[in-house]
Amino acid sequence: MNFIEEVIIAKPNKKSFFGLTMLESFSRDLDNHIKEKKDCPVLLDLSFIKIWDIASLLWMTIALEYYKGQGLSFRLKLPESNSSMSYSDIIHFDKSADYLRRWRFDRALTCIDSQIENLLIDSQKNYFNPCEPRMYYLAQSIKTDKGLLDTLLSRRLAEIKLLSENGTTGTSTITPETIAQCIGYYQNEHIGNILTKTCNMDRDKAELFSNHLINEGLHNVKDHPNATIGMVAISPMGNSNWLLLCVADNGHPIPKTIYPRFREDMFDATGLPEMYSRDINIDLKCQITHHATKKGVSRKLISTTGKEPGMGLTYIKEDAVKLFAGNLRIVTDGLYVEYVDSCEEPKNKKIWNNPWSGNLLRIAIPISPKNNKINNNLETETTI
Amino acid sequence: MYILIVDISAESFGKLVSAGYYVIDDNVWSYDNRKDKEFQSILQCLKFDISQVVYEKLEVALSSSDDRGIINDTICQILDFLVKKKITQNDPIMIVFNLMPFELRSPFFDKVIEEIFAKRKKCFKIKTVLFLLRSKTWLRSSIILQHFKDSNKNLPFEIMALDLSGYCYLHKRNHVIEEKQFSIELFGNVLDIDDKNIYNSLVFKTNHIIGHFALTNSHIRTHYNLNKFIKRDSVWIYIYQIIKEIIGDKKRVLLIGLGLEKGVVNYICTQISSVFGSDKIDYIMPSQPPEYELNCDDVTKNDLIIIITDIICSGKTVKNWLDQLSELNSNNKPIHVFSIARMLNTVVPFNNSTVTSVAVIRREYYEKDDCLLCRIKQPSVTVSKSEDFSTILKNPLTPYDFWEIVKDTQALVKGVNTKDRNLLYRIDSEKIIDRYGFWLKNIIIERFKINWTNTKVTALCVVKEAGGEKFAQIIAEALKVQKIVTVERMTLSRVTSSSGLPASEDSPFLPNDKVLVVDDGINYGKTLEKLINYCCAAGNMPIGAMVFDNRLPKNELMKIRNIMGKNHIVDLYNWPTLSNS
Repeated sequence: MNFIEEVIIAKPNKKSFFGLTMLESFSRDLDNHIKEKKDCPVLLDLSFIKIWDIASLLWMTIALEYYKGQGLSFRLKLPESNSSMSYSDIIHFDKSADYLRRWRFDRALTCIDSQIENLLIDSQKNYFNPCEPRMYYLAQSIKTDKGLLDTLLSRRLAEIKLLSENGTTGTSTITPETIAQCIGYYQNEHIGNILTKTCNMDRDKAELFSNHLINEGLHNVKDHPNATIGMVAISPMGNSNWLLLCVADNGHPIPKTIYPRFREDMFDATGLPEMYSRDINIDLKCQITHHATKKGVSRKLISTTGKEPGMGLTYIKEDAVKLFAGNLRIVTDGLYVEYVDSCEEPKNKKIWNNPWSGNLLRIAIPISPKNNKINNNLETETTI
Repeated sequence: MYILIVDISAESFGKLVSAGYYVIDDNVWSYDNRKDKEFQSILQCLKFDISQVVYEKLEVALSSSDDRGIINDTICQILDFLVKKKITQNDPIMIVFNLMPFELRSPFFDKVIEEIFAKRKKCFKIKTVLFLLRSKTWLRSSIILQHFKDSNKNLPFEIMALDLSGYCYLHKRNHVIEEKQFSIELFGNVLDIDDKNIYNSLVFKTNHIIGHFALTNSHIRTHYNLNKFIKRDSVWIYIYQIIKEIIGDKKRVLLIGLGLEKGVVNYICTQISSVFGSDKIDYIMPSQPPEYELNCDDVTKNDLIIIITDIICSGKTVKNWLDQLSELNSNNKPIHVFSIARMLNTVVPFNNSTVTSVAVIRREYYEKDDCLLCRIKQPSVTVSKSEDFSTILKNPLTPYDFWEIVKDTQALVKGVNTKDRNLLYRIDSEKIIDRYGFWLKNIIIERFKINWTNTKVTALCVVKEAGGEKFAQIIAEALKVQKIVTVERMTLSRVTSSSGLPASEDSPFLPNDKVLVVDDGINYGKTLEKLINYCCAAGNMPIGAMVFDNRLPKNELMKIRNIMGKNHIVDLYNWPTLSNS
C-alpha cells in the first residue's frame, strides 16, 4: 500500500543528545501537525539521536500514546547505522540502537500498540530482535560486569519496567498490587549494594536510593488517578557522572490531585478558583506543585481523614537534592520545575508543552563510577 | 523482662498488598516457622541485658488496607493483649514488631512511631520497641524521631531496629544513637534453616521449566528460576554461612563469577562483597576464556579464590578455569568452588578443589553425545542465554513429559468405578499439580497467549470436584483471574436447553465476564459439554476451555467446540490414542 507520510524529525541538540528540551520542541511539532493535517500519516524520525535521556524516552512514550488517541497515525524511524556513515557515526548510532534495546524501549511501546511492529518502519520490524553479534550489549553477555552500567545491564535493572498489567487492549490497570510487585523486584536486587560496590557510595546513602527514591517514586504513582500507563527506569546518563531514576505516568497531574489540599492549607483562599483548571497561571501552578513536595501534604484532605501526612515527594526531593546533591525535575500539566541545591523553592520553572495528562519525575544523582569514562556533562546540557 | 513478639497474620497480608506494600514470597519469618527464643541470642550478642525473659506471641488481624487503619488495628490489638495479660507496671516490656515479611516505606514507619507514642498507655512500662526490618534506614531516616530530637523531648521508650543486613540501630530515649553489627547467622537460628528446608525451597517452591536444554557441554532436563531462589532470606542466610566458613580468616579473597545466569552470579558476588567488605572481597565476571582473563597477580595477591557459579552439570567450564588457575597458582593458594546447585551425577571434587553446593538436584545431566533425551527425540532448545529456557514452553507436552511426571507423582490410578462410568485407569491430576504446579503455570501462560491473544479472562467455571478445582486454582494464579465459579455436578445436570439454569440458580457471572471453562481432564467430554451449556444458560458464552489432559480425537472435540461458537479447547497434553467408549 502506497501512502505519503509527512516526516517530522526529532531534532537532538548539537551533540546529538535528546533530552526534555528537545522533546518539548518535538511535541510542539506534533501538535501543529495534528492541528493542520490530522489525517496525514506521519513518519517520526528519531534516527538522528545518538544519546538519549531516559526520562525523555518515557515521557515521549506517554506523549505518543496520547497523540495516537488524538488520531495521529505514525510510524517511528529509530537510530541505526548504515554503511555510508563515518566510522565514528557507526559506533555512535549502533550504541544508540543498543541502548534502546537494552532499555527495552519495545516494552514501553507496547503501551501504545501491543503489536509494536505496527509502530515501526518496514525495514526496522526486527529492530528489537536483531541478529547477533551486535556491537554493544550483546543479549547474552556483558563485558566486564563490574562497572555500574554493566552491572545494571547484567542484572536487567536498566530495563524499563511497566507498572500496569496489560491484559487486553484498553484494559491496562495500575493497581497497588502491581506497584508493590515492582517495588519488591527492585528491593530484592539490593541496588544499594551495587552502588556501594561500583561507585564507592556510602552504604547508608546507597540504601536510601532504593528505600526512598525508588520506593517513593513508585508509591507516588498510586496517587495519580486514572493512570493507564506507568513506567520506571534506572540508568546512568551516557558516559556522564549521573545516575537517573525516572518515573512517568499518564494519570491525573500532581497539581490537580493536590489542589483541594492546597486550597485547604492556604491562609487566604478567597482568590483561588474553587476547582483546578489546567489554564491557571504558571506561578500558581508552580506553587501548587511545590506544595505537594512539602512535609505533611497529600491529596487526602485533613477534613476527611484526620491528620494524614503525605511524605513521599518530600522524601524524594530532600534526598535527591540535600542528601545526594542531585536534582529533581517534575514535568506535569504544562509545567516544568527543577529543584537543585535547595528544597525551599524550585530553582527553575517554566511552561513545558504537554497537552497530555501525566507526570514525570526525573531524579538525577551524581555518582563516581569506578570504571566509567567521564567528561560528558550531559546533565547540564538539559538545564534550561 | 516481658517480650511480646507481634506478627501480622498471614491472612492479612492481602491488606498490605492492597495498600501497595510488597510481601516477600518466603514464609520463613512466619509465626509458626520461627524459634523465637533465639531472639535472645541476638540481643545478648548485642550486649543487651536480657534476664528472666517471658515470651508471648501475638498475631494481629487487619481489617483495613490503608496505612492509618493498618497501624490502628495493630496497636489497639497489642494494647488489648497487654491488658488481658494483666501486665503490671513493674514488668519492663519489650515489644518486638516482626516486619521482616514486608517492604515498607518511611512515611508508613513515621506513622507507626507516631501512633505508638500517641496511643501508649502509661500503665505499661514499655522499655523498648524493637522493629525487625528489612532495612534500618526506615528507622534511621524517621522524620518523627528527628522532630522529637529537635524539640529536646525525650522519647517515652527507646526504639531499636535489627535489619536483614545484620545492623542494629538503637535510638535511646535521650536521643543518643548506637549502631552495632551482628552476624546474620543468628537470624539463621531463629528461622530454623537447614539443608532439607533449603532443598525444598528450591525444588518445590521455586518456578522451574522442564524440557530438553542443550547447554555448551551437557544436556539437562530441568531449569530452575535461581533469581528468586537466591533472594529468599533463608537462602541468603544459608549461603552466607557457607561462604563465611569457606573464607574463614582469609584477608583477601577473589571471587570468579561463572555461569549462564550472569545476573544471579553477579548478585551473589555483589552481596558477598557488601557483607564481607569490598576491601576484603574483589570479584571478576569474565566473559572470555580464562587464558585471556587471568594473570599471575590475580592469584598471588589473594589468599583465597572462590569460583562462584550457578549450576554445575558436567563441570567442564569450572574445570577449565581450575586448570588455568593451577598453572598460575605457584604459591598453592586455596581454590574453592561454590555453586547454587549441582546435578546428582556431577562428579566432585574437581582437580582437588572442594566443591560446595547449596542444593544437589535429584536429576542427572546428560553428556552431549550420549543424551537419552536426544535418543528419544525430545524437542530441544539450544541455550546460549537464560531467556532461551522459556522457549521450550511453546512446544506441547510430549508423551515422555507426561508419563515422566505421572510416574514421578504416582498419579496413575487403576480400576475407577464411579456412578456414571467405569474406567480401567485414570490420572490423578491433583498429585501432578501439587508437584509440578510451577511448571504447569508456565505452560498455561504460554498456551493461553497463543490461543487467546489480547484476551483477559475474568472468570473460570469448573465443576465442584477436587481435581478440577485444583487445576482451576493454578490457572487462576497463572492468568491472574480473581473469580472461580464452582458448580455442583447435580446443578450441571439440571440445565435444560429451553429453561436454562434451574429455577433456584442465579447466574454467577457479570454480563461482560470473559469466562474460561476449566476441567482437569476430558475422557468422554460430557462434563465439559455441561459446563459450556451452564455458562451459555447463565448468559455468558465461554471464550473457550482449558483442560489438563484430553483423550478425545479432534473430530469429537470439534463437536464440543461447536456448542460454544468453535472457540478453542486447549489441552496441556493430548493423548495420542483413542479413549475406550
